Amino acid sequence: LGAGRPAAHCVCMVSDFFYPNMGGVESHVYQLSQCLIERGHKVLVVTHAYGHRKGVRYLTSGLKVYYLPLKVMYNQSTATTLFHSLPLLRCIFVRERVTIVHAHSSFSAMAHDALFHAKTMGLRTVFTDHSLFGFADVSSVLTNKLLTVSLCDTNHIICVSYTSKENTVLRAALDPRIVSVIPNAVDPTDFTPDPSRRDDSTVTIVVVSRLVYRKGIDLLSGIIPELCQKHPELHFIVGGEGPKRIILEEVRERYQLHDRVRLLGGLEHQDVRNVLVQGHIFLNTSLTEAFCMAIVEAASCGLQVVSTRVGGIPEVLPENLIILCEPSVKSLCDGIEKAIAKLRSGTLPSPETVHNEVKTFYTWRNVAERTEKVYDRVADEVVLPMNERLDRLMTHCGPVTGCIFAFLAVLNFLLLAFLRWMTPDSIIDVAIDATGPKGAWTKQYFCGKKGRVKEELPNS
Amino acid sequence: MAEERRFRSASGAPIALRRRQHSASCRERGARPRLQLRSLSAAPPRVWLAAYGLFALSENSMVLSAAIVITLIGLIIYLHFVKIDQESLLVIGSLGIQVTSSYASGKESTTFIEMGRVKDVVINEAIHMQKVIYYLCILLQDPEDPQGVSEVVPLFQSSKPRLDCLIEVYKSCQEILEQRKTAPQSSGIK
Amino acid sequence: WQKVLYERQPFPDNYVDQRFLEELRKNVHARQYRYQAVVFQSGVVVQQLCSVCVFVLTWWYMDAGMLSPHGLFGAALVSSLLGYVLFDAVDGGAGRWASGRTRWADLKSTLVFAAFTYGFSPVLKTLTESISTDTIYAMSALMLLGHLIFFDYGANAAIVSSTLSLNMAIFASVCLASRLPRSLHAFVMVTFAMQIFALWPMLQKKLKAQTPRCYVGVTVLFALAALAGLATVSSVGAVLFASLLLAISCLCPYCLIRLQLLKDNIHGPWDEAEIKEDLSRFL
Repeated sequence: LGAGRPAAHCVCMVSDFFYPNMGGVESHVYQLSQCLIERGHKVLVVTHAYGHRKGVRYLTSGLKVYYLPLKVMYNQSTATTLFHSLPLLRCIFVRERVTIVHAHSSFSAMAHDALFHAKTMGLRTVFTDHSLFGFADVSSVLTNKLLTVSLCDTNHIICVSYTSKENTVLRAALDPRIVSVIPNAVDPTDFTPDPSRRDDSTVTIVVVSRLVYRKGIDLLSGIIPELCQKHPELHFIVGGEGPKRIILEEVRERYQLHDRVRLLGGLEHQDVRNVLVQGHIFLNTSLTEAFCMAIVEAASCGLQVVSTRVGGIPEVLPENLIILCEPSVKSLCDGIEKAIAKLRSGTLPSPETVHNEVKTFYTWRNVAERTEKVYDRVADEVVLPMNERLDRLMTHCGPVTGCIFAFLAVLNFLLLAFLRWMTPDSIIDVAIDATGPKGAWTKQYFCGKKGRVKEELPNS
Repeated sequence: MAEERRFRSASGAPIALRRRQHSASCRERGARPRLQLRSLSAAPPRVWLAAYGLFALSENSMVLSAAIVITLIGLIIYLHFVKIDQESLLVIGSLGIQVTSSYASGKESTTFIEMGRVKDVVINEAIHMQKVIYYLCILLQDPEDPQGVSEVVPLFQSSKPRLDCLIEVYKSCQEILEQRKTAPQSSGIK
Repeated sequence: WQKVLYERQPFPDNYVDQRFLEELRKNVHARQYRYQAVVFQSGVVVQQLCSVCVFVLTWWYMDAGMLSPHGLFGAALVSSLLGYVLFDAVDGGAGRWASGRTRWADLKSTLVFAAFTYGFSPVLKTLTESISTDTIYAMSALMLLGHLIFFDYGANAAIVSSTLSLNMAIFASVCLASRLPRSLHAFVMVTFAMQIFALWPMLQKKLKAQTPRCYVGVTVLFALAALAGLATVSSVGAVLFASLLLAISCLCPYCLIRLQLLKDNIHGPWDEAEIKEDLSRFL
């Protein structure tokens, strides 16, 4: 696979969010890296240290992860000074011979730092945006300005849905032709239906999400009593943890629904499937969502999905698999009742047919293939030289912000020149490539000439 | 039999690797940073020059004597406790591994690890200051769990040789460790 | 081309369709203001500025000995009683009925407040003796400014805090009162501050809600009175104050309406949905 390819890229994924943290971005980075390694590229991940997990670690198929000792500021995102991470990131980019820097998530300060440094070093850059943002309040005005600065000279941007693309293009004032849409994916083998696990004498509605305001848990607290009073055979299973758990507990208390509403608390990723297969209907009440992985997972388990019509959700599943509602209690109750009626009359397709249909939609292999095309395209592009980059910053980001960041870019360039003078690239050891089938981990490599490189701690 | 080869440390400073083979199962490796004394000898005159400048301004001879005393004490502490002139690794197949670091003053500190506790010698990567470097380390066997590692002893901590030098040392260490595994009953120094 | 993700479409991933951004909406919630309405609403700000002005003027007169404490106390008492009667008369007692507060309770709190202030007025008088007069003036000015900033003008913002605003005003009044000649002066000053900063805005609010025409008249009269009072102290100050009031009531509304035209607010499917229902009925 890897040998015949003329252009095997060495990709460095940078994001503040990676395992052991759990979430959509984390699994996206991991799965995409695995599939790219399978396709013969060299991939490494750079993130910040999580507790005692710092230094260099290896994951499955030699995916190398650098946990850098940077201070975490808020919500697992590192503090940024725009400069302090340069020495370490430069060392990594040089020793791994990185050709493309791929940053993830606009909430991650480290991703933006890495983009900034990579452009200074003349590397190609790709950015994946996983979230939607409004335009109305002061905080989004500021973050959108920063995103404009960060993305104005980035080679290519990837969004997870068409709505997300529209949003990012508007936020960062981009040319829409350098923005690709590549959806997230779900591993269909992890989410298989199992009709024997559900109790067909009742109707069970499953909700799996973090219990926070943005996931519409307030709506859920209205839906539960409304529907439970109407339908005595209805049960709810709620998986997830968060600050809004308290209002669900209050509702359960108030309406005496202890036997019908189960709050499971936080779920491990591998337990999600076992919870999903216990239900007939999956309910998603999100108020904003770029690409909702949860509804794809639920549909893959054969559940009828009822969801709010927000963000990129209408693009994700075809109309026969999803019932879309407005974000209000009444509309969602109507949607669920429609699903219950379909269930009772037996017009719902069987879980197996739904699973077989959904499993063709989104696969990580397909995501990796399309991402690879982006890399190929980017590899042919030129990186803006310093003078053009300054010009772009000043013409693109407004007179004040543009000049400030152009000045910072110059400072960053000088700092890089200083670092190159202190430790020239030539005395930084080239890291031994451990990724893929030909990496340092295979048997043949052990017999080879070079030294064996072993991992530090046994528990990783 | 002794030979000396030139390498560079992770920060680019030249170091010399001296290998001495006592026998097939007993080898010694020494890494010595070179040309460091020049920078060292430049420090006291600088302090004295600054002190003389102060003296010219304040006309207090205490400044001069204090500068001399401070540089002398500093130099003694530096040479005796901080500056490591040479680090050596003696591997004896049947006995164990001896790690010695000699300070510039001649003081030596030695650690000995018996062969039974040595699980393996490996090259590892770590983030050190603002760099990611390779280093050689000895893995010690966990007495309770034969698969586990109880401790990691890093080697050549002050000279920090680069990967090519480490591979050199690593390979000859492995040779001896291999011999021990294939013939555990054969006795040590011949 | 379809805007769906689940189908493989024969277009590259960075394809830009005609329908790109077709769901973009602009200025959905933008409000069209009418000049007169904005001028009317600016009356609150004018009133509050005038209140501060009148308060400082009163202190000035008392400090200069041109106003006796007895006279001020009498006038304040009469106007308070008048305001009290007016407060109930304006809405025919509906507000009192709704709050369920008796007249006896009003009388009790008035008496308690008056008694405490009177009892503590010697303390108030000597409280800030060790602090220099310049510091007192600076502090009072700062506190009155703070009062104006945090006052509840009816806007729904995080910075609004009527308690903080009132406390700052009372603090300023205590500071200024301590520079007056006798403790009776201090007592009258603090009571007057209470009336003008706590009670007067309440009456204004009610007037504004019930009889807007009358409110406009009261505002204009109050502003003219404050200006006249200021003119007796400093004519330059009066001119400056008059231009400030004019700017706030005429120029600022004009700017707001002109700038409103430049508003460019983007909405689309990416906006976070708002929960419009009242969900507290379920809890």
